[in-house]
Amino acid sequence: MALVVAGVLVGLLGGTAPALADPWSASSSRSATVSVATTGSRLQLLSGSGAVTADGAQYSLATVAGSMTGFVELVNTSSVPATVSLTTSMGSLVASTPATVCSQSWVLPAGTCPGTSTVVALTPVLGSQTGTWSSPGLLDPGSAAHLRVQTSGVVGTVTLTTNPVVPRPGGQDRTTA
Amino acid sequence: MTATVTDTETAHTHRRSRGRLVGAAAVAVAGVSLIGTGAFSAWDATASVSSGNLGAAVVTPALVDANGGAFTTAVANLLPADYYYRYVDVRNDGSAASTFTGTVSATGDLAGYVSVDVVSCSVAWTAPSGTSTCTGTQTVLGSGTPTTATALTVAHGSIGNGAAAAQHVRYKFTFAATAPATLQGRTGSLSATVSNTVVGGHDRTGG
Repeated sequence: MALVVAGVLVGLLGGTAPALADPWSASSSRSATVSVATTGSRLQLLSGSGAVTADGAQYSLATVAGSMTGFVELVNTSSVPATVSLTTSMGSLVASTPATVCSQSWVLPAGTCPGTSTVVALTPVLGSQTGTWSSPGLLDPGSAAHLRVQTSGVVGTVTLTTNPVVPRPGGQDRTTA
Repeated sequence: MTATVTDTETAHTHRRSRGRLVGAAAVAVAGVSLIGTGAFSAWDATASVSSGNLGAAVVTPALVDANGGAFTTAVANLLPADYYYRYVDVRNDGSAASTFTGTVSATGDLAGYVSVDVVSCSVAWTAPSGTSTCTGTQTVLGSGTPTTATALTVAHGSIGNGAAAAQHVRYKFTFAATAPATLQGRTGSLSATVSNTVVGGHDRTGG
């Protein structure tokens, strides 16, 4: 009897459990990548005097004497259309308005505007003058606003500083674009 | 009285035994030879029947682009609150109706920032743009924001086999209106999966 019990136990322990069949299932999938827009702008010196910082955030035109001119572009480096903006400041209360925006590229070297020009208005603030300008509409990625910065006979420094861009409004249907 | 066996009796007995053995052997040989010639064949017969063809089930779910678009089309330059639609037909190309389950998973930097609304229409959606409409009955299959750790579960329900029984599904993906500016330029991936499992153990006596 003991021999029989032992045999059964050995059989149970040594035997393999019945294999479970894989479920009869299958799947199908699709995937797509999505990415978020980038926003930004930078100043580029096209021609003339002055200098732009390495990050493109500021342009400076220091005047010692005489008349100096610089042609600068404010480029929309965003990946989406955006409104670009800058602030002009000048450490003098006696100079005339130094910055003018042209709706098209300035014609060089004559420095004439083939389109519509807009003077960046300045307001006196604590011994200096500042003014802010924004593009009248959305600029496409890579497009630029065209500026001419000019000083005449006044000792001082004119600076242009970029402001944060405002991208096109969000909440748009992007199903087909 | 003591019995005495003589040599003559012993010899007679031995001769008798040998004779019986020879006789038995002769009968055995004759029987075997009779079997071999079929002289004793039984009165039996055989009848058989075969079943009809037996076929194992096929499990084949399919996600088919629908409504003029492609699920795999990438979307770039998302801004907060931007959204887009993707349309698919969830089709059961298998051999039997079964219950489908689905998931929408997100990977990459945008996981947790794209909400998903999954709706089915009882008839095909009308147009390929975001203004598509359902002229039949809409059913919400799932809604939520998948994260890297947790996919959104989509309850497709039972779908019959064949193209005519396809389920017309619209996914709406919405980039979070509160997405932080630190996500600028980041990318991610969104995947939709459908699967089905057929269950056996049914009485198929009737077919």
